[in-house]
Amino acid sequence: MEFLQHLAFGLGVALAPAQLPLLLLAWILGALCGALPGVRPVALMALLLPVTLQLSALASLVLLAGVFGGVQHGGLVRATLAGTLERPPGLLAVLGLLRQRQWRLALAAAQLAPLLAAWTGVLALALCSLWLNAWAQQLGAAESLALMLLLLVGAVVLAPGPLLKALPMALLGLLVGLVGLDTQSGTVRFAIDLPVLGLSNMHGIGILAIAIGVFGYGDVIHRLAHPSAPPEALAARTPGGAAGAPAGPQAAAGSRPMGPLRARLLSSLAWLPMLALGLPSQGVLALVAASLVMHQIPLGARMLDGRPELFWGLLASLLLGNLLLWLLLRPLLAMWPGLQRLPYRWSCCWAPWGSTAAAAARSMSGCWGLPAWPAMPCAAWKWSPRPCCWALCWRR
Amino acid sequence: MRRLEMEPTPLLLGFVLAPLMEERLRQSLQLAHGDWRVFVMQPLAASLLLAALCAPVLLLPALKLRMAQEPPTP
Repeated sequence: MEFLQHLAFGLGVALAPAQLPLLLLAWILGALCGALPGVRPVALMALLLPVTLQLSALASLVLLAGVFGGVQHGGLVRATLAGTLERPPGLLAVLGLLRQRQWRLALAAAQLAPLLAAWTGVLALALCSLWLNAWAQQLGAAESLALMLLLLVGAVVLAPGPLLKALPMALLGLLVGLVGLDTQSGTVRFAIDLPVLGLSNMHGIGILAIAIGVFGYGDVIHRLAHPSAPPEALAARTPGGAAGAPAGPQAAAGSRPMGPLRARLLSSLAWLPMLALGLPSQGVLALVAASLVMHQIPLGARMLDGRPELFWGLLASLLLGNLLLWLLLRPLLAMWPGLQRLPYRWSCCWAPWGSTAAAAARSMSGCWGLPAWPAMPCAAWKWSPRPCCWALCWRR
Repeated sequence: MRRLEMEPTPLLLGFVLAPLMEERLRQSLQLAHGDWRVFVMQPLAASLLLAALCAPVLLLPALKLRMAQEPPTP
């Protein structure tokens, strides 16, 4: 009963006028982008990260979750259409009903199945994270350090590609994260005497710069530069695939394509470590954690008690978003062929939006994205930016 | 990074987790008066650490299987 009360509270929060338009926008945008070939959820979320600076913590959480879920489901429908996924497992049951001439029941079962699968996933997520959270709250400092280490090692091991390449990346990330002011002694460390990294910037290197640079523009420019690169496997776009490093409960299911129903069921469970432990375990969740950090919300297991509206609002937004996508499934399917034909150079034109938003936001580090305004069309139509750069350098 | 086919996800994760891990490390060492054995003496922490150490070894067969399934990218 208490659970239902909490859920109703979350629904109320998610349906508040501050969050509802964002929720609708995020899920639709995510679903459309998931249909576009070559758009990864991580890139999209990284580019949206500056936008969240303007919003409240809950609204940014709803936005990022919506985009993530939308991209997952968009990719799912695309994969289903492309025929790479197995047929819905409920089909046999529906056929059985048809044979018994229970037309209405069969129709309802076939159409309701995706929605019910998604909702079951969200409810399972809520129960699991409540249970895990109660356990995680008793952890001391040493245990939570070990837990974080375990998460990091898990991300390294499960990252696509060889282990020897993922390990240095994690170490590099740790080192870069330590640049800036020492929290206890107040001295500047690892700043190589650059004022930008040291005293003038108390928080070290901004997460925005890293996220946008590495995930946002890096990804987009790479795809523009290698248009012949094979489009990533469709399996990678289903939740638990390589969309972020697969982690947690999906690790086992990540390597093979799943049925749409099972994929929908599992798509919400990706949130488990973030909700229960307050710790990110894959790239997408790391972006969510970054936006929470930017809103001065301490990560960790205490998040559920400290800011319950975040937890329940996020769960409710997942429920509502799945409902919305289910309602929109038919129009989206009609639009799909047109979206598929859109070449990547057009579909990537959304990339500079993130940088403009960042420039408008209060953060200075987001302004690093500004050069991307001219750079994107240059890369898209293969105009070499080199003469421009040389001219700029010579003027100095 | 893309040229080297380096995966950026661990980079971002490490970046987010680094300040947290540092804080917890300092806390636990302060509580234990600088005694590093605190990580081995507490059963839960020790088992989690052990799991972290064993994860690469245990998952290696699965990794190899996955590599064998994926066609090598040129």
